[in-house]
Amino acid sequence: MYNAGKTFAIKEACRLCKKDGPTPLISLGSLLGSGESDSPYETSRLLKMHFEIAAKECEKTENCVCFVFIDECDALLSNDAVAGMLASLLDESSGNPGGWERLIVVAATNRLDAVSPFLRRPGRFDQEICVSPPNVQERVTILEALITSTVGITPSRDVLEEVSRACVGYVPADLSALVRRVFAIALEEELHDLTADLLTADLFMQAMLEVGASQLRGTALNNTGTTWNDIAGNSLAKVSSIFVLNLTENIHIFLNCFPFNKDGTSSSN
Amino acid sequence: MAPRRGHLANGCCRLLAPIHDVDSQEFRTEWNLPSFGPVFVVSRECGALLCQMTEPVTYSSIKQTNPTTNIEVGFLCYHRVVKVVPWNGQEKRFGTSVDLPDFLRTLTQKDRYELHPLSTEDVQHRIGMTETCRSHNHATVSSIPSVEDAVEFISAPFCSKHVPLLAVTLRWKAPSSDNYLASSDLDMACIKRQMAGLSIAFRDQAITSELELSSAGMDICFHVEQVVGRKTSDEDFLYIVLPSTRITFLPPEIPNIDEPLRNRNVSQSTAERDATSHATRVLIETAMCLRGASGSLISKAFLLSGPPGVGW
Repeated sequence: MYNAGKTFAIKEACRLCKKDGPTPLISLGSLLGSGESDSPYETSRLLKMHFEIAAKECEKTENCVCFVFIDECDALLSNDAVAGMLASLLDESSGNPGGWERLIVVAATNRLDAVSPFLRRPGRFDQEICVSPPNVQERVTILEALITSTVGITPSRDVLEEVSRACVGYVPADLSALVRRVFAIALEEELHDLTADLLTADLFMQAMLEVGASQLRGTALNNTGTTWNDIAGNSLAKVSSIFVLNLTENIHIFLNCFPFNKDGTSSSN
Repeated sequence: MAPRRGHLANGCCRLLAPIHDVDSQEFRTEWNLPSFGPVFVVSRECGALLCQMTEPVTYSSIKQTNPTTNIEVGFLCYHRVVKVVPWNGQEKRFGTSVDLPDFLRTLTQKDRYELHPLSTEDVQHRIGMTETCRSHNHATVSSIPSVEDAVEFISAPFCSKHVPLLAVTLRWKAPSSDNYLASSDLDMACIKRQMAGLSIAFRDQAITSELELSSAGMDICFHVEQVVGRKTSDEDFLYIVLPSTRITFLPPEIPNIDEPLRNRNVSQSTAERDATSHATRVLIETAMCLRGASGSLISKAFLLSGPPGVGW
């Protein structure tokens, strides 16, 4: 597993901090889907209850720091009542002495715009940390680890670097899908005895045509062959537009056939 | 009890004007200052100012009452001159020759300050503490009992091996943890201010420095656990603490920690730190700070964002 994800970060931090003292982790990401709460107000009440439990735990246990983790917080905070309750709890944790002082609240989301602005001001969520996709060197490492762990061979470094440079925006999940697709293509081409020499950059590029970067899907162009019949509007206006466009195109073709000099004289005899 | 430097800086003093304007007559008139004599500006970010300034001279001013002379407002306390000697050397870094940054030159030059006769004992103590923090031989310099004339002290000898320190982790070595718990955030902030300009020896991944600082009449001894600097080769280096250096305090060692964990060496923890992501490191450092100090000044709420699938 590539250890740079949001959820992994909090779990890893919790694991490492346990060496220095008690570090309980209270996960609140499943408050909405657990069936415990039927209404936003009930969710708010549960949220407050969990914070109070964490604060009491910190207060009664010496040297205890508690992580309160809200995974996929955009789902929980889409309701204004819950968001308001969280804001008041964050205010309370920063101003209250005792156990509240040792609460670390971590929220994770893929949709930053869905989090209310009043939660993102300093004093509430003080620090926003962007967990970025891997860079070129990290992609080389991930690809190498994926291929080696799957088929036990290590492709050449040049191939990996070339592929990694082309995989802009690929997250580790995309790279995993890419490697799986490469192996599928290799099987389709009956490359049963797969060696490092057969894992060429062309094979990866072929797979990249089908497996793209998941975060760039929204911005990728989709050429479906749109025709004039797919475009709404007055038919007369459409015919006029088609005529003008064709005329313009024909004029260009005509002018290209008879190129003129700058002074307006024809260069052809 | 010795005065707290932080109390002086936080409560009684403020930055009166930009450094370049302090010496002008208009400024003295505007702030009702005496026409002659040195002026003294105290700022909480004194170290940062020293690093940012380009002019070699700084002036400071403090506002306080002197009961012995019946002067309601005695402004003049000390005059500080930082001499800057141009240095034309070059330092090898990453195979290229670069000039040493100006701020490093400033911090490694001779300092000289003069006390005004009206300065009170509080200020003298403060000067003493300032000198303590500027000592680079890792030994405690006792406070100056009475200073009448000019006092000159010399910072660390200029050394091309001085490397700016990015981060340093200090572990409290007080004999009892009560001493540590009694310290306030203000003390911590003051200690951080005092550390600007300190040199720390670093040799073969093993720390050899133990810092002794003085704050609020309490001697504190730290053991430097980790340093993060731009190391350019395998040679021994003398790191220098800048105001921009991230300083993390750790509580005293706790007896109930497992013995193997307590005995882990610096290289292990360094490797562990390198293997973790930025988000993990921030969370771990926050937890460390919360265990050691009050959490009122520490960011405790984090919002992690980013595309899905990164942590596959």
